[in-house]
Amino acid sequence: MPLALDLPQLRLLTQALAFAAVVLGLNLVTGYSGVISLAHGSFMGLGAYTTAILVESHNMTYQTAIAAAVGVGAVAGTVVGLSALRLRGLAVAQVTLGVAVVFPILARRAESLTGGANGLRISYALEPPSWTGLDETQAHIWRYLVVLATLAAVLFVVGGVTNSRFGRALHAIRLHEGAATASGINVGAFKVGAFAAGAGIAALGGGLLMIDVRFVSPQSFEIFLSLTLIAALLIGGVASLPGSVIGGLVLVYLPKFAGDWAGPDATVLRPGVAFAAAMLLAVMVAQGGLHRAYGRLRDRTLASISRAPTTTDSVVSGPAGPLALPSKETHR
Amino acid sequence: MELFLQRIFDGLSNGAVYAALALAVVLVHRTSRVLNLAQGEMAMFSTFIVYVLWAEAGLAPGVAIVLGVALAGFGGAAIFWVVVRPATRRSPLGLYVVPIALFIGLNSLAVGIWKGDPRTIASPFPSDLDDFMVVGGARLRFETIGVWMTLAVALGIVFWLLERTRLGLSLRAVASNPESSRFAGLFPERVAMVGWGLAAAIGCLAGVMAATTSLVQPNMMLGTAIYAFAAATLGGIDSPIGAVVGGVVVGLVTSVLAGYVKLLADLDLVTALLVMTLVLVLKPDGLFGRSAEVRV
Repeated sequence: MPLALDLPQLRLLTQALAFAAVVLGLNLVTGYSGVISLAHGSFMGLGAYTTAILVESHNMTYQTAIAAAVGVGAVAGTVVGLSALRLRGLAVAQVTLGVAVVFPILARRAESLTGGANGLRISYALEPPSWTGLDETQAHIWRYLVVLATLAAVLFVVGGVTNSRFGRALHAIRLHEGAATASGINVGAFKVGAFAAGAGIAALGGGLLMIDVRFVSPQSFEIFLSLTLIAALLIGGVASLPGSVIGGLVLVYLPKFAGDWAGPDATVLRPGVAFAAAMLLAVMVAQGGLHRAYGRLRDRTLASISRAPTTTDSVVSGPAGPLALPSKETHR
Repeated sequence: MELFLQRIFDGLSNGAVYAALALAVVLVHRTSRVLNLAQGEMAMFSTFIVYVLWAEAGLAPGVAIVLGVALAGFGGAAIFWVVVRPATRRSPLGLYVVPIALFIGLNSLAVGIWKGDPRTIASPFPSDLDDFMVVGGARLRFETIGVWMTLAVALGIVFWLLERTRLGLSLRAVASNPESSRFAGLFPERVAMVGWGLAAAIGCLAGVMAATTSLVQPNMMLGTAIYAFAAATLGGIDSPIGAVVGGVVVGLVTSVLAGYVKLLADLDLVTALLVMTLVLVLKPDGLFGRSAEVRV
């Protein structure tokens, strides 16, 4: 049980759940609707900064600050999404890469607001309310539960939405934009909607991270975060809810294990190299990420046991949009 | 006036580096349809190799650069053959994933091997404090002229290769239609490998030229790469001449704007990003590009 973990362990898990929310947001844009976003680290940073500024400088509670952060993230996502509207695949990658490079520069520049390169520390910590029976030394348990509950709620909502008309429209757009348009789907509106929602959820992840970390600086939201998020998405599983959670866990634990194993002075076996290798493997071998690799393995094992014809998690053949993926219904 | 001229010189020398890296991006995109977001990181890594050849193997700067550029060329070709080719074959996702993986991997590797501390590389050009001439009141450093000349010669060689040789003909054939070029007896993948190698070599030269006036460090090409993408976009992502013109224009515009618009001082990257986004939105094919018809 996670609650039995000691303080540093539980804090790490809390952070992993916050990152899982960001991967989920990215999944909505890149996984479900097939528009690549290399700027999700910046949306996360925007959420973290908004939360930190509102809590620290405007004495807001975490709840209101994070809610506001989601709004700010969604607005930023709409702006980037609108510019992505006129662009095709690779051009979107270019623009969002630019956003990711520029974001930390702007954060350093807006010193009066963000504390510049020194970052911003939140002095107020989220304490457990009295009805929980948790005392001050157990505050990290409460923070973990808050983050866990929020992530669960968001997963529930996104799960519902992706199964709704909206989600099916996104799926159609990913497979073939022209065909989606011909079926009466307003491709532009859906893309911008997915971008706004995805950026809002990423900002939520940034806000959730602040509950535990309570410190934000430009270094945490450099371009590499955005790129590693893509790696986490591919490793976990594209267009999959469990995949998003796995991605968040990978994002936090892979560097930790790589660091523990090879030491901080390692020359070659570094977290970045591990991410690069893992994402290439995810694309070349375990297409669809760990989540679907598990499903395929299970189906194959079952098939070899029963020798009966079964439906396997096969890959949709042919080029289907920039992010061709295993078909959707197979893992349900 | 002197100040304006000074900014023009600075802009031209940055612009030459952007042009070279943009040309590398264009070559890769033309031959393999991959937008190599990691072109800057590849250039950074090979600049470190030139640094090692010079500082640790003790070679003369000129020799180290030539050898480093050659090694970078082979490295780029090898990266295409070993990583890019199998990944893009297996999944259309590879087109996006490989550059990102290269980006994270190479940067992380460089930090691991050479740590974070910045290093300097000896300039192969006269670079003492008084090695300059005065043009219209502004200082034109010999170093700057050296960078222009080197990159101009390198770009000249590339254009000669593209326009006047059999190799260039096959590069252009594969770029315009991979399927038909196959019937003409060409192997698109081998040609793409040459494209990657050529691009990595030019990128290495761009990285070294950028490093002679600044520092060698793992993050040295992050900004330069964005300028180069803006340049390639401005010129048209498939047009070599467009990349060069775009590079010079982006260099000049950012340098002059940063000098005269207070708000944009040390925010040149934002200017480049805006230029890039505007071009992509208003004229997606760039100044020299041809529009691609999409067949449904």
